[in-house]
Amino acid sequence: VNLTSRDPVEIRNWLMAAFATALKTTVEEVDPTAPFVNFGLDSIAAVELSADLGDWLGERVSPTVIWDYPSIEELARHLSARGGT
Amino acid sequence: VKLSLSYFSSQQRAESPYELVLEGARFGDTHGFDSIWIPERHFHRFGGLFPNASVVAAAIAVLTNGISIRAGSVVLPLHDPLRVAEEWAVVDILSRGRVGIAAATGYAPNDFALAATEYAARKEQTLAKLDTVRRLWRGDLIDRVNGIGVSSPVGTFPRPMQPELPIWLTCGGSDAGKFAQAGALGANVLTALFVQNIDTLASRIASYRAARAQAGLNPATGRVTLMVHTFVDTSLEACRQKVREPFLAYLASSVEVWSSGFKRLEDVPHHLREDMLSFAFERYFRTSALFGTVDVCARLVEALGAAGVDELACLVDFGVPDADVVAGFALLDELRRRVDGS
Repeated sequence: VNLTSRDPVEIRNWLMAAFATALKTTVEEVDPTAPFVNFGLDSIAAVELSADLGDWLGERVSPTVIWDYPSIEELARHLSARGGT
Repeated sequence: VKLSLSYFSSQQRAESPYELVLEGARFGDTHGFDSIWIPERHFHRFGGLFPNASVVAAAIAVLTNGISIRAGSVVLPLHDPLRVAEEWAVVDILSRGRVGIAAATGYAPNDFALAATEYAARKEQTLAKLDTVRRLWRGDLIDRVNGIGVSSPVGTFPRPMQPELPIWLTCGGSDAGKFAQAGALGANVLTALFVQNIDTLASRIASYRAARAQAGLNPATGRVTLMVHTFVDTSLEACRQKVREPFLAYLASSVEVWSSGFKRLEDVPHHLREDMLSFAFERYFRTSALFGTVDVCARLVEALGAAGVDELACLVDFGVPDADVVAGFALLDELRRRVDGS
């Protein structure tokens, strides 16, 4: 998988679907601008989600990155920019 | 919001193991801290300096003049309420009326080697024994079977200075109903952020105050004390460096941190464990502990105050070297001056 091929919207959609699954809710209920801390995701779920994300992107994603890019929008932009460079 | 000092996991060292707690007591006493909290821990190196809070509290009582001295907590099912009333009455007199105790249920099965038969009904026993301690404190007699099998009334001595024993109920956070129970009893609350975030805590504090009102008590005068890991430093990075290793060790060894979800750390696949600990560290560092500069910490204190917290029991002995902890007291006092009365 080549990271440069993914645009931020694609990453955002992947994250929204993943969060919806992790939080047992629908994609419509996931706010991509809300801070992750509002989701009440526990540490284990966050780590599993970042591992899945890394598998999908084909490169390691540290789970602590969400503390620096604390919403789906911001994280998607960051990952897309990181892949393009 | 009032600031206090609290101790929980001090390990025995070769020289002067009690110096950190005694120095905290001296500093807190001379710098306007509200109280000092001493735990009860059994059969483990972590916290092993504190098998009985009343013994250390007695030392603090004679070393200090104004700071309140509290057990955080007494694991009541492990004890005979007669002994609890006796011991803490001694400390109450030595301190001229400065003691209070938080009553905890206890969770570690090994702790109940002291009172194996109490484990099964420990929740009920906590409340029943708390009621007995309060009655003994007031001077009531209770009926007990004596050495020759005869039921006879007994009352405890010495008689304490305070007419009523200030009490807290320790609410770990996994049992939402316990806050309301504390409110109905007229007890204060001792809690922590580990298994609840600030929003959850705020709603539980609301249920606590509502239960007080329902019991005919002033909702506002019940005190909510939050135990929080604390290290104030001159910069975020300096703080992170000092606390990361000891705090990770603490996280790795803390059952209560992981039992909030459905899994324990042992159940997490090996290759994810390190990520898991790093993530948890960042979470606590950023959202659930007083870690960082005075400014950063003051913001969290403000948020906790808005959630209804009255007092922060700053846990200082989680593994940062003693010398650094003591050196950090000055900044902690700066934080205290900033938030006291806010």
